[in-house]
Amino acid sequence: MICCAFHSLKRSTFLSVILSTLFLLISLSGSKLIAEEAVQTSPIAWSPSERARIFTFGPWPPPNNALDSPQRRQINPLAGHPKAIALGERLFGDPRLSANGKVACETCHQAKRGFTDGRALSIGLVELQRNAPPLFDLADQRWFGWDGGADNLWAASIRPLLDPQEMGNSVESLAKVLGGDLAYSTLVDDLQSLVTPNSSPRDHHEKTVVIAAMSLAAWMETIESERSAFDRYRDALSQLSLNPSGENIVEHATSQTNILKKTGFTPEAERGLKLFVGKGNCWVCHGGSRFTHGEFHDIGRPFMVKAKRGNPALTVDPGRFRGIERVKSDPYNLLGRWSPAPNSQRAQLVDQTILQHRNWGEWKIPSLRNLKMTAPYMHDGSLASLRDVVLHYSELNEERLHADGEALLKPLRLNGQDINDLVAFLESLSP
Amino acid sequence: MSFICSSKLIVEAPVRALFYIFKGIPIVRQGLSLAGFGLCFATLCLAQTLDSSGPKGDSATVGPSAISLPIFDAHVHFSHDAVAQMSTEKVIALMRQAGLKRAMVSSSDDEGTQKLFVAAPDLIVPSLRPYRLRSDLSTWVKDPTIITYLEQRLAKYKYAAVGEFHLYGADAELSVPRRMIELAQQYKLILHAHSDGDAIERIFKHAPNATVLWAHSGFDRPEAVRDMLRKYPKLFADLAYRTDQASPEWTAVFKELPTRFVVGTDTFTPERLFYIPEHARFTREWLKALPIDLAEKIAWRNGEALINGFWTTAQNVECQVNSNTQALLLGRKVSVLFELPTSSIKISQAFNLKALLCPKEKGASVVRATVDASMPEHQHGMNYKPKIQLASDPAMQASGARLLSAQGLVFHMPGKWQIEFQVFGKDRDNQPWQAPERLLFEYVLN
Repeated sequence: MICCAFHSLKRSTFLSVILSTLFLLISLSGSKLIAEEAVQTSPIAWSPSERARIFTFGPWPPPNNALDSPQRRQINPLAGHPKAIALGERLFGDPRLSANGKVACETCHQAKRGFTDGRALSIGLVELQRNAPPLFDLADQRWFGWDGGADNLWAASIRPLLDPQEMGNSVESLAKVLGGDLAYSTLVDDLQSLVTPNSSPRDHHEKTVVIAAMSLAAWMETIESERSAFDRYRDALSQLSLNPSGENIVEHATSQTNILKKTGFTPEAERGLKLFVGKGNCWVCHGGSRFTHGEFHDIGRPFMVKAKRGNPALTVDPGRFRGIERVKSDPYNLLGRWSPAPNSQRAQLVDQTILQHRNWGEWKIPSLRNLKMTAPYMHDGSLASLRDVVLHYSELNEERLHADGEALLKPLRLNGQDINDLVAFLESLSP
Repeated sequence: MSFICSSKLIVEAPVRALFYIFKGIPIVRQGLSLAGFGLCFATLCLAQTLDSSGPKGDSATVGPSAISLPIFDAHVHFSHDAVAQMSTEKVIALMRQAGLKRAMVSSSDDEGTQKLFVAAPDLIVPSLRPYRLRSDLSTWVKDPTIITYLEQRLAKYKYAAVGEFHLYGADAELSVPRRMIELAQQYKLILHAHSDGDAIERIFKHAPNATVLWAHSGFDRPEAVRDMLRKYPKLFADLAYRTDQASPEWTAVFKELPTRFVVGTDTFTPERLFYIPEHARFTREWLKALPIDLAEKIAWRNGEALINGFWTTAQNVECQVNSNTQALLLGRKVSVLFELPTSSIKISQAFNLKALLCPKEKGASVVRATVDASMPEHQHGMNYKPKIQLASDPAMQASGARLLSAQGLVFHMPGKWQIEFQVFGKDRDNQPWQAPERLLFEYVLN
């Protein structure tokens, strides 16, 4: 009994020594970390894990990015086809595609504004309930639109053409416009054989519209973000070795400072990047070279909307919840008859998507490239500036998030410099 | 034109008067011919009787998808941010649209729940949440002012439950949650706990006789939930914010413990109130796979059984309201439910009014009633005396309710009018009421 007690005491003493030592070590390293955070000198000495995260944001543009790759042709048979691209570009600016002949795709997606319209809520035939998303880097995305209501870009192009509030046209009327323009009809005829199934007289009009939409998609897929200061910094950093032991630290830091100078990536942006891949956890959703994982989240933004123009009654725009319902019933989804590969794994995503309670008020995670050109932000354009966006995450209203929801979302409680730095980093993602 | 919610009631005895107005609420009960207003009300009174036994007639032969199962939604919030944006009428309309039979509502703060209850006492089952703001969620367990808040509300209003509160693990040993559990026992209230299994065990350790509704079934696995329900006979589980119910594992648990599960939407943001109809649809969809008796239990019967003993019909009105624009006045002895002919109330034009007078005490009856109107700000009444008729309907014989028809009311000036019902009745021992009950309703004619 005594022996056991002694043994137990010895064991507990031993354990406490170990724990104390561990605690001391953790405390020391912790205080070192705190000291490093408090005085964040430039250039930043990136840890291996931070470097690894930073490198996932590139390279840009992505390699093996052929517009007409087999993978892309499984989604859009006209992808990368020069005639389709030419047709799509012309259609994009043609207001005759709308019911009143005044609204073109480019009305809401203006190139000079990063393919947005600069408005909080866009105006088609009437004022709409959402902000026009930019059209960069669409080629390999899974879902299109803020709610992901389309699983391919040509389906996403048909929707506004036929939506009564956006362009308000009909298949028959669109086919008439396309058929009545010699340049259009010639191109459509040239592309007919590439799109299956062969049309019967019954669906001749529909096939014409599908070809037009696929051409619009083919053209939009050519819109690629230009390289930014961040891309240059990332690439240069990847060339710089990871300060191997024995290397002169000052020399290493000098090399990194030179990178900053050469690439135009500012010290503020560098500190913002540190927050982006660290404390902010922004990279978790805004990952990859497009700075989005392409899925949907509720970040606590309101989504109450006015029922109709001039009607003060409120309703909701339920975001991804309705998007899932729409994409599953969309006749132009990749499981549909116009799909070039309905049995492909990519096409099956529609069937595999499940509708969940949390989808109510979720929105697509947007890319962060070109943000300087695409204000205001969020699905409803409710945040006017990048500073407002950062403040949203800084002061995140937890009351709008479910207690058992995304645990990652916590108010960041950023100080003034942190906010400036994150804004500087976000701006560095624009050319 | 506009309506004014009047809490004033001229009575000889102290009477709590409530005013309710309902707009655009569809008649949801099918299979009964509603010929006119009187019959409509008769049907609504009858509905109370039907509700106690449930919609058995159809359900014996038709699956739940075909009869649009009523839903007892055990997990609704109408918190301060929602109250600021949405009218109670809109929220009630969403619930009616969803086909909810009842909604157990808890809000941060409690005002939202009270507003909904006043608007639809037949529908709302109030639960008292220990939060004044939703942000109390993470601090309430160590905040003694929460107890003061709870005691003040419990002294003022009636509730079926305390919750939904968030309580995890050993926090259940803290003094604030312990006192809250004591209060729930004292006031005979269900505990609606958003908790892990550990905290549920601790609640039962401190209050073995408590009835606990386990929010979200603890987001636990079906087998773990089953074990807890086996262990604690007074533990119920809500399935709010879960989408995994349609699985063989859950079905096995439902079949073993068919009386212990309820459903709920969890409207934790204002926008989620709009999700109530979608959630009801989702619920009916997954319940299709279950045997009809079991589906009915989970959809609404278990909810009714859960509140039985905690929420009595005496706390509800006797007359349910499911029709178009109507107003309801609650007196001490009688409820007056009347239709507002808003479109026909015009300056100097005669209009008619119909009302249902329901005695609140079982066995009591209405003997006589008058209707008059005046302009209190002008200190005068109407220039005409309306013609009053009282009628009985065989369907309402047992309830002692009477249908009132007032013909020829004339508001000859714009402004605020006060409609006054004066109701004479007898108690169940046939003794006449010492004084008539007078209930007022204010209406502004522009």
